Amino acid sequence: MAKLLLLLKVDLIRIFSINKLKNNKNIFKTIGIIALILLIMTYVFGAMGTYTYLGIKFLMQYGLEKYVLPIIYFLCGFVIFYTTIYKAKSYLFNSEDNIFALPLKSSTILTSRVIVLTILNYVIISIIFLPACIIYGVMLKLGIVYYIYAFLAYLFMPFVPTVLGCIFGYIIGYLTSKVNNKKIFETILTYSVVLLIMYLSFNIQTLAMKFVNNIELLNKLLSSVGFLINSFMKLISQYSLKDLLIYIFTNIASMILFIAIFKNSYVKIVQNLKIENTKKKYVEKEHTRKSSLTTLVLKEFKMYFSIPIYILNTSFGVMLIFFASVATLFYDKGFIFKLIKLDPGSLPLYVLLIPVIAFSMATSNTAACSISIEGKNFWILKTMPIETKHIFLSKIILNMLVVIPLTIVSIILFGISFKLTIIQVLIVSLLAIITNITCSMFGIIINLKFPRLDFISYTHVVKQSLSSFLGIMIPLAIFFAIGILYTTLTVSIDIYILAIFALLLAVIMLQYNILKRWGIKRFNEIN
Amino acid sequence: MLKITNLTKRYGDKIAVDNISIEVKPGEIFGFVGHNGAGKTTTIKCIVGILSYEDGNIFIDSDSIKDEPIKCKTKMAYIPDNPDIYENLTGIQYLNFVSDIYNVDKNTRKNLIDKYSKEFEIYDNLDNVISSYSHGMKQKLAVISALVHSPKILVLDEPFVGLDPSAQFKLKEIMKDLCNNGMSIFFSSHVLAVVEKLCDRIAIINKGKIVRIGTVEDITKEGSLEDVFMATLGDE
Repeated sequence: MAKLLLLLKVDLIRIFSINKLKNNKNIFKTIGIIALILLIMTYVFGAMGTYTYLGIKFLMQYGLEKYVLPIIYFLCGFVIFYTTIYKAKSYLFNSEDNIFALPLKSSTILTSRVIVLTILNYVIISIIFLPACIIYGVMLKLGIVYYIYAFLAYLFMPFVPTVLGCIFGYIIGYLTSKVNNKKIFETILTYSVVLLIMYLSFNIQTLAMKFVNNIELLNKLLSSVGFLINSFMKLISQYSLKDLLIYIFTNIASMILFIAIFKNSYVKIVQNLKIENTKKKYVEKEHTRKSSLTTLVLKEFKMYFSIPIYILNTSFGVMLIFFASVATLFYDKGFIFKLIKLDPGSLPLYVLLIPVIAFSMATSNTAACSISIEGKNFWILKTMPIETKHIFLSKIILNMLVVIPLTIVSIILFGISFKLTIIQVLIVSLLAIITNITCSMFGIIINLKFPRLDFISYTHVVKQSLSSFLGIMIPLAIFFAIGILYTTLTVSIDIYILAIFALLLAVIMLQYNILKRWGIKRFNEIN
Repeated sequence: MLKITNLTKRYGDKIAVDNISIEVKPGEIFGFVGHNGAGKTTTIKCIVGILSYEDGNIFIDSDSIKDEPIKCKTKMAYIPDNPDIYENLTGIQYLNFVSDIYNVDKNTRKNLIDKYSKEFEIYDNLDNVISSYSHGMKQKLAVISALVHSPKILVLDEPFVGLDPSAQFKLKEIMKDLCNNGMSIFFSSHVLAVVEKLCDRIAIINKGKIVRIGTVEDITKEGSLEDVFMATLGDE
């Protein structure tokens, strides 16, 4: 037990960079980071509270408000399950720290890592599940007993979805450890899950209406998902002590069972995942000579396609748009208007593509972590006779190569579906390219400001770094504001689009100057 | 070839390198010795352009690394103490990457890659991804990548760590050979016997300051390098 606590302490210090925060002499920076995290958490907390409020109000019309918390419970569990699959790769199967050389039982290591994952998942339930419980209690004017039961439900909530996520991650890990081309296999497998989720997301409105219209179906679904949700429903609505005990027991037992079953094969899987396949003998091919910029771009390209989590995290937006464009070829085009709640005649069709493309560009930003991803290899770029601007350019080109071709294909497909003119397709394509360059440059700037070279695994830098987060969220917020601004103005859409072009070009010029003056200096300071 | 004049490097309030001056002539092997945390790696990182510095200057072939970083880096090769190289590339891809950046023509790169990879016995593994290499193999690859563009000065930080005895021997022979052809070598090491045997001149650094500098003969007049090194620490 002492060793387990010790492991947990070390893991948490590492993951949350506690020593860095403690030893940071710049108190304003530390306060700033904490304030930013709190601000983001408060925002999500508030947003979830608002959604719950609206959800309860909506379901109250049908007398179905009692289903709000179980649905949020299910969704929250799904989010935990899904993100745990991702996190399992970096936390569960991480063998970088030579921990297996220490005199520790594999069950102790596995337990500490599952607990770390559970602790990380508390962040999710604290900003999704907790506000929902509070709003529900306030709106239905529930007493203290409700809050006690809700708190206990919250306390034990992440156990089962974490374990399920670990099992799924474990299966992916096990299968990956058995195949030759681990990276491609892992990418395809994880992308399949993403596609499944996308499919479910597209159909969620239809499903929601089916539930509202068919209460039997909702009951059936909730009971088929498991008795855990049933227990949750009963403990939260009837304050059933028996169900509370079943709920707590199930959650704790799931974790104990998982560790007991998987502890024996754990070390072997971690070791197998580390083994790289080797070819027998080098066969010499003719050497070709390339320019340094081409070489840098190729290096970026190879690096990108060898890190599955990098691909998954930065191609999600563009893949989403691509699948949507394919879907418009076969399905009723009206669903797009329903999706964005817009009258089909209110705007030219090609204009509707602009926010869609902007979303895709903002969410598919490989540049936002492209400096950090160099990690321990950063010295190579710093000691080579390369102009820093070429390094930046290679990272921008990578983002363009990853995003632009598929986006152009998507725009053409949308063009075919919505019978757009060639000029309209060209306008949207040009806007996509300019937006992509703007986002890429911004990604580099934000990553130079918040680099993270000392990451433990790629997941930390690709999914959990501040620059990755801000590199997506800030452009998204700006594009959203540009969209909202149009609704408040009385200018023609053509002039507005021209203004967007001018604005983006101005931002590109501004960012170019920032990169040239501050960026190069900052790049040289990072080590 | 390499001239360090009054170099000072600070980390906040802490002075890591304190007003040091060193000159390495063409064809010279210069050993840089000091205990852990003495300032060796910081000095080396300043030389190769990884770290910026506050005072003094570093000249590579009379060009300042501060003012002409690209020009200086073109003439220099660096091998770090830990061979952290792009694990996702294959050995040959990494060597071609370095060759392209340094503009090495096709024939030269073919000859040098063949020559050094065979000497260091990793030729057969060049098609494998670097992540499958052992520590020693990565170190060998880092050495080859440094030699493939025929630099004028080679800067090495603990180059013998992780190499097997045969590779250590070969590296020493290559270093001597390259210096005979006019290349300068500046390297740090804890293996005092190797430093004593291989170097023309030596500097001992302690707490960021150069405490002894001179030819091997001058410094070892009073005893072996180990004795002098220990005595220097004792004086402090």
